[in-house]
Amino acid sequence: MTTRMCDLPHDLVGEKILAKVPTTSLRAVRSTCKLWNDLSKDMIVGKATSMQHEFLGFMTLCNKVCSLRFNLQGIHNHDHFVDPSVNKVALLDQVEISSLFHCDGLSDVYALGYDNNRNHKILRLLILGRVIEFEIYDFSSSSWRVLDDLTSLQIRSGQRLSLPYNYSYAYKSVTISCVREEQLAIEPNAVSWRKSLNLDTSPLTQSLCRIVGESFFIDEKKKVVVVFNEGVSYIFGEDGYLKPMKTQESGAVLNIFHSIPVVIVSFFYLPSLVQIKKPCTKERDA
Amino acid sequence: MSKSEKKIVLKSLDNEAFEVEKAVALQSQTIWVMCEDKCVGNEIPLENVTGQILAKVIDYCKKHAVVDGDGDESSEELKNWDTEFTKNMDQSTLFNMILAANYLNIKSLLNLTCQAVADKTKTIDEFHTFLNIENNFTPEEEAQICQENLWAFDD
Repeated sequence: MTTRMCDLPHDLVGEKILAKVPTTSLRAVRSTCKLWNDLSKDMIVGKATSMQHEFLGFMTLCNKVCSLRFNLQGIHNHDHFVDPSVNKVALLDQVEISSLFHCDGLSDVYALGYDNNRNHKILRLLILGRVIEFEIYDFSSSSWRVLDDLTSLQIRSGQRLSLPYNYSYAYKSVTISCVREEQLAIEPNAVSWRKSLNLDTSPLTQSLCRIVGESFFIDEKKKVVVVFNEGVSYIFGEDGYLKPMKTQESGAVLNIFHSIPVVIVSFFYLPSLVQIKKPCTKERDA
Repeated sequence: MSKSEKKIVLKSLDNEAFEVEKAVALQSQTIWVMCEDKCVGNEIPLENVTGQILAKVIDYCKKHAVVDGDGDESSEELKNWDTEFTKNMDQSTLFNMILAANYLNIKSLLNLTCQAVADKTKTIDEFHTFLNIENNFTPEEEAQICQENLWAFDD
């Protein structure tokens, strides 16, 4: 008797096999059949593979949200050159960031993160005058959800938004000193961002006197932060390691940083303890 | 462990018996638990694995067992051996190996065989032919999936 893929239990197919398929074959996996499309939604990128070698994140380019990939293998080896490449997220076309700057000079702010299954989520702060709205986009459900409570909470307290970076109202310049902050709760009942590593950011502030609206990504495992600046990106490590790299353009996405980029932060995303706890409250001795 | 307890007999679904070193067999968490529980004698029946597959699993375990004074195998060599091991397996065998590794709970073998399946497939057509899967999307659905995943990278 011939054993076929469909004879395997779904959890094996999803967790053990599809999770090992490289990111580059994800489209093929999703297009194979309905079951695989569903199974792979739990793991938005090839988890096992990308954990080891590849970094995949999202950023904005030319007012579009784009995915970005680069290989962090051998990152501490000085001969190794890291070539990142970018792709447009067509799925997010409907959120084209056209109203980038309002008359009062404020912009939307995006923060990106992923959960333990590497399901990416985007947190969007819409800053409309004195009103700030928060929305979260989930790649696995492909939908935006509005976070209500947070808005009133933040505005009433009159505090600056506690996103994991210092956001300057004057001109969207950010620094990454924010990662020194302790865990930051965006919404107590739904989302929290936690501290992932300590970095000495002085090399960046010294060598780049003008950092404008860059995106940055944090890879916890490798303990590095990658900052994207105009055409050149910088990789930082904990030990004061700093390395510039060119940003490679791929496909139709051109003129990186030609337009003023929106601030994007990629961070490790954790659902709140409240949400995690739920399944654990089941009676175990039943 | 006394000398007399060093060997163990594994019996396949089709009643084929394999006598192996205990150290070899205990790489299977399932067998390990069975032995711990002392619920079996020296002969362990494995109801989900055929003799043909069990023989291959034992080959793998022998290679990976840390037997007394036989730990010279470098990790590089082991890796090459693993690659050769799965290279020429047909898909049915590979899937049976996955099922066996899962049932016997041999983590490294499960990873190896699943990786082998993941590696053998790169394009949509390969998925369909190699894995014998029917495309049950309508053309419209397929186009939509493709559109949704434009952000993913092709090599």
